[in-house]
Amino acid sequence: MLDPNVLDTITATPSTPPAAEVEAILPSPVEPPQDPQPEDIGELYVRHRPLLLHVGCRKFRIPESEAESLIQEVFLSFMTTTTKVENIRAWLVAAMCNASRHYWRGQGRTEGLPEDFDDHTDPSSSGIAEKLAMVITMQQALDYLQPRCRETLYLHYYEGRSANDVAVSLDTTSRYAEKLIHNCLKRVREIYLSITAVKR
Amino acid sequence: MMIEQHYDEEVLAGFLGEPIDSATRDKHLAGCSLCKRTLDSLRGTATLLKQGEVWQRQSFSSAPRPETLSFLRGVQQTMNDENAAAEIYVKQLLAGSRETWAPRLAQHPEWRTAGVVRKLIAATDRYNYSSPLDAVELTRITADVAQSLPSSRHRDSLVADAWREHAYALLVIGSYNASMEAVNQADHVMPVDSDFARARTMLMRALVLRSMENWTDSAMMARAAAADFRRYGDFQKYCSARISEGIVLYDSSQYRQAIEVYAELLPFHAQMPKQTLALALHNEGLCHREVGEFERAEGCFVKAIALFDQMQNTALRAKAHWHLARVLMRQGRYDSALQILTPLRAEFAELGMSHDLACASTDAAESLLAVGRPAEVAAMCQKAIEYFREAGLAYSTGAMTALAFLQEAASAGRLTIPDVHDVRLYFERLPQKPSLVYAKSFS
Repeated sequence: MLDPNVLDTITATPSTPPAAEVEAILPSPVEPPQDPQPEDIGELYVRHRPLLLHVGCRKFRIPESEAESLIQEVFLSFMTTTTKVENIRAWLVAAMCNASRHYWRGQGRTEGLPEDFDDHTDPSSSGIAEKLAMVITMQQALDYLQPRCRETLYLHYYEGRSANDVAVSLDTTSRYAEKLIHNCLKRVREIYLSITAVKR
Repeated sequence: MMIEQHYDEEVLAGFLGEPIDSATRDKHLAGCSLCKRTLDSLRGTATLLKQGEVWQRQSFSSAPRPETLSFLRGVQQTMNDENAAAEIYVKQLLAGSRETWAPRLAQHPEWRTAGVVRKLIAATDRYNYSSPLDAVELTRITADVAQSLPSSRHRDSLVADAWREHAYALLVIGSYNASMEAVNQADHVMPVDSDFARARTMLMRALVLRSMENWTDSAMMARAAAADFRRYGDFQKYCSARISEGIVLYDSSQYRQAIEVYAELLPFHAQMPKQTLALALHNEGLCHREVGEFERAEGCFVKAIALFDQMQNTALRAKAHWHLARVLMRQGRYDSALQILTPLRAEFAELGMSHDLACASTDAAESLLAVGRPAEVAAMCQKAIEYFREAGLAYSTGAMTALAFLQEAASAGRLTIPDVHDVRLYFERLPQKPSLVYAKSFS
């Protein structure tokens, strides 16, 4: 028999439980349904497409044309869901991961899976949308940088070279290389923040 | 007046090359949240630049595809048009009693649209809480309309959603087998790649299984659904599913495991909606009480009471108060318990929570006996008897008989705590068996 002490989350606004003490309260799995997402779908598509394409093409190695079709399917699912979507970006990314996995399952009948297919699954990483969004935003920010600035950051941060090494590679003084590293970091951060500010 | 001096970015960037604890040893940084935040941001940027992925140039086109854009906008427009038309249809459909809904729908085949299904689903919740039988009929009609739509992926999703709503409505009225059948129908038509919708159905199944006392499968499914909700960034549904899991564990007397579930929710307390947090704390308190962790239980109930109070949810606040009183009783703090129980009984009476009033009266009787004030029991029982006489409930007669027994025994100075426990046990059974007769007599 159910213990009447527990208050059910089933009812977001529980009426008086009819049993002895209090029922353990259950939250509702069928929360008040909402109207479809009110935002313009085109705007959402434009905003989230690069991220979803990145998920499909980079994470799951799906050809771009196929990934584009999956994005369309994901947006259709999004539009037709009968519940309020709490975090649109995370929802879209999770749905894209799911659609990509499903795509490969379908393809698996006719062709081999990529060797690192296991890496393409999205285990319990709840923050995958955030992480991917950061990577893509940084890619965009780096695209805006002058080539010399980009090279400086590449040498120092990605290759882990010291300011002296960077100075040699760029044919300049160590002091100037230090200044360059700092200024380029500052610049890329400014661009990164301006992109995210616009996106919000 | 002192002017606060902050580090500029160049100075802060200097910390990037040093071990992380050098920043914590810096006097200014230790106390300046602004500089700390800037340093964290710089560190985040530097960390990101060390990842190979950010240096890969995008090989795919960055421009959105005009054909996708126009397709999606077209679908949205169609849905908006359908919804606008459905708004009127649904108003007409749901006018009058539920017996008229199906015949009226039969007269209007043009009402069988996806928009009507969406609008009916949106309307369901109103009925679930106010008129459960209407909700059952409404969701049955919704599933019927959804199934009659032309075949498409979207149609299948709507059919699955409609069946899930129907399952919930059936669960509310206690038709567990029918509810399970509706969940099966939802699963059957669900598009295979709809993880999110599947998670919603899985949670629904968990709730039905709980009602059927299949604790193991219920807890497992609630947990699995929670994992999916989290992946989809749906924090609210994640919390709901975890709380459901906690409840199932409580139901099956796995209190320690339930406490672990609530502990896992702790980091999210600040983000939880008040209602959800209050429910979680309340339920966690019950688990602590069961394992004898009374101080922790007390803490949970006190917090839950404060939250219910803020939300002006008087019924649940009263219930949480009652549990707090019972924790105090378990600790032998009967005087403190009585301070809660006395006004609480009046509150239950005012709220029309008659059954709770009956049980709380036995708790008060036990506490009065424990503190050596048996004489007050008779007067208290008399008040409760009067309430039941006026309430005229299905089980009023039985409740009054049991209360009369307490009253007479107390007046004669022969009332014992085991007698009170007997009466309480009887009250606990009454909702399930309203015709149960209280047979014990005072001699």
